[in-house]
Amino acid sequence: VSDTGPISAELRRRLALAEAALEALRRGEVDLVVGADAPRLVRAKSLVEENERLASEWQKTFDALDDMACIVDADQRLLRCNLAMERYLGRQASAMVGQPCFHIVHGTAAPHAQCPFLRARRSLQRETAEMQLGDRWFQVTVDPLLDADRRLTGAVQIARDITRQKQAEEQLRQKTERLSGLLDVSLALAGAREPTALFQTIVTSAVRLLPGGSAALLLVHDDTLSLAATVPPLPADFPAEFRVAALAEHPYIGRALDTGAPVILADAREAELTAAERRICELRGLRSLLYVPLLSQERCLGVLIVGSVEASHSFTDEEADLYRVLASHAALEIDKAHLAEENRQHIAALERLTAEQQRTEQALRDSEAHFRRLAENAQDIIYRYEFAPTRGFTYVNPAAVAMTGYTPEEHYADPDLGLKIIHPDDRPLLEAVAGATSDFTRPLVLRWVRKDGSLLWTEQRNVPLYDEQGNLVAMEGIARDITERVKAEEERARLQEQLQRAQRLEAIGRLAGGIAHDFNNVLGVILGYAEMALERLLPEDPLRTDLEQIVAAAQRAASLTRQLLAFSRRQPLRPVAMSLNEAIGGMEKMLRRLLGEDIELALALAPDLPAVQADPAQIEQVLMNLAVNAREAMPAGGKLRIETAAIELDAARAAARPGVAPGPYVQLTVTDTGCGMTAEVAAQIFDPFFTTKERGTGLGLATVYGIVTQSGGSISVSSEPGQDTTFRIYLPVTGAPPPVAATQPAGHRSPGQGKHVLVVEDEEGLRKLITAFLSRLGYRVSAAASGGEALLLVEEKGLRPDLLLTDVVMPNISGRELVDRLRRSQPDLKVLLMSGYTDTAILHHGQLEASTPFIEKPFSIDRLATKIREVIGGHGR
Amino acid sequence: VASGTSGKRKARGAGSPQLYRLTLFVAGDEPNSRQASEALARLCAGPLADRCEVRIVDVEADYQAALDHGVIMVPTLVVESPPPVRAIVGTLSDEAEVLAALGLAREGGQR
Repeated sequence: VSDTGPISAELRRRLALAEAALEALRRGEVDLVVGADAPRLVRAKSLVEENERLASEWQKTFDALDDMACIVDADQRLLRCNLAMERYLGRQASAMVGQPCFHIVHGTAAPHAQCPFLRARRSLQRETAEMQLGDRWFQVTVDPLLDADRRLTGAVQIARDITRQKQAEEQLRQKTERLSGLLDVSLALAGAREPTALFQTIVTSAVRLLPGGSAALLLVHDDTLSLAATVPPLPADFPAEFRVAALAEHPYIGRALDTGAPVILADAREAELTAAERRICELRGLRSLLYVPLLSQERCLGVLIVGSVEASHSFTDEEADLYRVLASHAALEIDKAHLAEENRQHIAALERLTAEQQRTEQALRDSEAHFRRLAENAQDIIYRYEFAPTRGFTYVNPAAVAMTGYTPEEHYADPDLGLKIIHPDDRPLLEAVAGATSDFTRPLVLRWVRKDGSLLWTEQRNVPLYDEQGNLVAMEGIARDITERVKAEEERARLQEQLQRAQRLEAIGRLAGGIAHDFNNVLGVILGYAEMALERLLPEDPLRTDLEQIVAAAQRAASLTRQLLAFSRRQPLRPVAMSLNEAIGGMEKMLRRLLGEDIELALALAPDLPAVQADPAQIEQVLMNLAVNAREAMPAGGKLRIETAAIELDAARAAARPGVAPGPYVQLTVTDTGCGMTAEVAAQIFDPFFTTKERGTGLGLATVYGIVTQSGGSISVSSEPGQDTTFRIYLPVTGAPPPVAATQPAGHRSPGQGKHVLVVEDEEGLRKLITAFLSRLGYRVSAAASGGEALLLVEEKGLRPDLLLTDVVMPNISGRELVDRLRRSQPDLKVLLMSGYTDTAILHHGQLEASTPFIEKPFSIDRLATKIREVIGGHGR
Repeated sequence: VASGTSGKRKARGAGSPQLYRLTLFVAGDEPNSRQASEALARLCAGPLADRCEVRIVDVEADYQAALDHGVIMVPTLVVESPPPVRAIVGTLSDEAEVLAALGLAREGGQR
């Protein structure tokens, strides 16, 4: 502004006036103030009073502020300050006015670098800053004072003590930090699963909350403390005995554990520490200690010891709380770790158990499958029947279908099928078995009825199953089809019976044969002498009739003994290959005559029938006897049917007949339509002297039996009372062709022509008869009573007979042996054997070689003469 | 000092050729105004004897005159001449100051 010119002069004048006016006003020299805007007058006095009042109020307000307030000029020189500032600085305002505030407050020669005044001076706006003065914090606000030209004239500065706020903030910050630390700790703890790692994490976490500090974790086991982990790590030479201690030796730990609350030791140097603790405190330079118990569900797991190296640092309650939180986390995690460890062990155990169980189950399954397969494939029925809770089959194997025709499903559907299937007559047996006192160890043989109605025999073995009260709850068992076995047993019993019958017949035969043999010799003597006596008598001699009666009676007796011998199979057979059909055909006429007019004879002869090896005369005897038997059975007439057939006996059918081998056979069947017979009668029908007829000898069918069996065949009878009776005879087929029937020259008695005959016979009567008879025929006769005597005659006395006539059966040396001996020195010796029966020991199965000349006892004189003539004449050697 | 809207008192100083035209604005009989009137009367009787023409304006009566002369506080003595126009606010009790303002500083001063 230029100070020249009228306007500026006027302005200056006005300004000067204003200033003077204000000065006057201040001096109280003004009465009125003229309002320029609003035309009014103001009493200057009231104005001044008002002003003073305002100023007083303002000052009071100024002083009432808790905050320090001051007004400074542009150079920060203090113009005014309030009471708070006076108090804070401890100086009167008057003593400070005019001095720069930085000098007053900071004691420096230049403003504080952070002073907001510096910024406000530039920005000309309010500026603030937080500044620390000693241990207190202030928020300093600077409001610049500007003149009309916005030039800085000064500033109002207010400093508010925010120390508590700062402290609260700091605490909040620390709290936040610690909470954040705790969160990290929790995460770290939660991450550690293995106890050892967890313990280390706990102490590491504790130190994270207290940088530069130390931490140790001690675990409590009963009355013992053991060091689990430390941070920092203990030196290698730290005594091992310090790692474990009795709980009683630690008063602070004891108190912490007893109260469950942290224990703070402000100054470790003055506390009663154990040797181990003291060693560590010295090692680490620890000044204050904090014992925090690790509690989990009211149980003390251990204690966490935190040590601070700061001399001034005593643990606050807040820190103690913090560590308490940490400790509770840690305890929880230790618990969790232990639980996890236990779980791991349990799981491992469970897994082992499970694996074991699985193996067992697999084994069971295998075993069950194994047994089920056995059961499913078994031929026998295997079943399980339960009585409770519901009655019925719970298992039946498929064999049931094959055995009974009923499927397992049908068994499951019908609980009573098991009983229904049993033959009604046998059901009581099973019911008896179901009783409590049954003997289950013995098999039960029952007849079952198949679905198709057929019968089978079963053998059941039942195993009862009882509950704890002893009630029968189930029955397991096996049923086997023993039909074949039962049949076989029946067959065996039948065979046994047959065998016994055969043996009985054999015994009877031996007895009868023995008697017949001796009796024959006697008869021979009687006949011989009777015949010789007859020859000597004149035809008109009155004794002739008597002698003829003797001869006839003796011949009848001889016939009887022959039949006995035939039955006993000791008659000499002359088997040849013969045709059964021819034999039957040759007898047809005679049989019709024998049977009479009331009985029809029917023949059914198989063509091309193979030859059999048999004695034709005996076969004729067989047919004759059977025909006679049939006729007796049909007194009112009937039909007799004779059949032949070629059959092949297999092993099974051959086995059913004693003494019969498998092979080709000719079957001869004789069936009558007579009265039939009972089984008892049939069993004895072949016994000698067994007869149902009043006049029978009881030898007819016995003879048939003997002939057939001696011929290597077999005979059986089947009959029932009122039914047909059938005799079935099997004769073995022979490979030899039937011989051409040879005509035998008629025998004539002729002189012996001086031929020398050696007679060997142990029966004296017979020997003398033969000797006498042969001598009369003109033979030279030497006689020996035994084989030995005969040898003596030939070998010692030089006897050279033309013919050896010897008995076959003799004591010491048999006829056969004698023949062998004599033929050594005289190979061309002619031999004629004589015997009442054939002995199996000498004659192979009672059959003499067809080539060896033989005469059976008793023989007539004529027959002996003919036979000797034949032998000496060249027939046979 | 005459009461009324305006009043003129001619006073001429013998030794000074300079005539001072002075207007004193007062507020009735208010103490400061009375003091100022008395002080001016002493001046007029003293140093300004015979060389002052004094007009006393009661603003309570003539408000507009005060506005015309730019008077904002009463009492105020406006020195209208010699120029420049000057105003002295207050009771005029400091005679030396008033004289200085009038450019009549007493030689040798009263010390």
